[in-house]
Amino acid sequence: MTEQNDSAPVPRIPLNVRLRKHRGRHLAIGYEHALELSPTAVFIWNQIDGTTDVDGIAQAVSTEYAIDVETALEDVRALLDELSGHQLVVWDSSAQPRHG
Amino acid sequence: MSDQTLDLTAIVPELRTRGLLPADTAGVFASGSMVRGWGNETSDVDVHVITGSLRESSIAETGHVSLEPNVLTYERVYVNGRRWDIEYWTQSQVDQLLAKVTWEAYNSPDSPWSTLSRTELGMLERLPYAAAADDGGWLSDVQQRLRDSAHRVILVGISLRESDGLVEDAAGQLAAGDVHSAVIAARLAFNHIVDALQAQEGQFGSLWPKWRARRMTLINSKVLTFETYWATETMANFDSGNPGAWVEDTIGLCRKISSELEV
Repeated sequence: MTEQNDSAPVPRIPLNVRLRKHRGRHLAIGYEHALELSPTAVFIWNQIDGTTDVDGIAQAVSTEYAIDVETALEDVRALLDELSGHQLVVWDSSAQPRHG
Repeated sequence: MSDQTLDLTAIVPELRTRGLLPADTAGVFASGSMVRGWGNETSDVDVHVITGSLRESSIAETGHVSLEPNVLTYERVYVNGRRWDIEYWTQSQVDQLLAKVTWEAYNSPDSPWSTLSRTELGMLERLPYAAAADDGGWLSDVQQRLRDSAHRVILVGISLRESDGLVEDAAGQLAAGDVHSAVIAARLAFNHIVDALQAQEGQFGSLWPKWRARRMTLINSKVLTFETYWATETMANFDSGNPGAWVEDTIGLCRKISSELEV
């Protein structure tokens, strides 16, 4: 995950980004980009609160879907990479990370 | 002073006596605060008369709609000290209006609902709680057509889009250090997202923000309690020393509500 560094920045949803239910689909919509989210991705999205770090989110996914934490971590990182690539998530180094 | 209850059965005879009920009248109904039980001593009675052809008005006031014909006519009278505002629509105008909110229209790439004028939107917001002043056949049919249509999702979408635009404005203004503008934009965004939430719950009324708190008491929203609504509406937690925090909190609340709405 290229955006992260050793100080473990936490993912944050920018103020101008929103989640929208549109005709049965979930869309993350930003200023320029929109991305359709799967139900699992929506769950991950809902864990992004600007204070919970990647490990904390992966722990929540592991618990919710009864999968091992390593697998959850891979899924969370993959989604966050994709979201940040579309400026739908940013990384906040100043936040005090919470590990879930 | 005037009685604050409305006798619906008195409307048609009163209109007939005053020569305000055309021979081709198809339906008569009342709407607004008096019908909803929210009236006070100075509340007007809003009466709507549906006719076969456009009625000539005796007063200069007209309303403009994106329909054919493109005008509405009005009368204004005082009955026992209370003002009655009477609005005339033709049956064809109502049919054209309903055609803009069908599911077919909603799914159309032309988005016919995007041509809704303010007056048309007002009619769409009034009709669900209108009360028949005649035998009720006309109104009952129209209300059923609305329930079968995309009326609700379209009204949710209209308020949601207003809120989305203002959230983007507030975020941009805050980032640019224009905090005063961001506060105003965030407050307006919140107003619109509450309208969208209420519309999703069947409490329409974006054109009547003065009744927003009343409507809020009628919905049981888990995403926005009345206490949180009222604190935000009244900016109870606003800190003039740190206005940006209120903007961020309010945008966050808008985002949370928005994610619970479906369009």
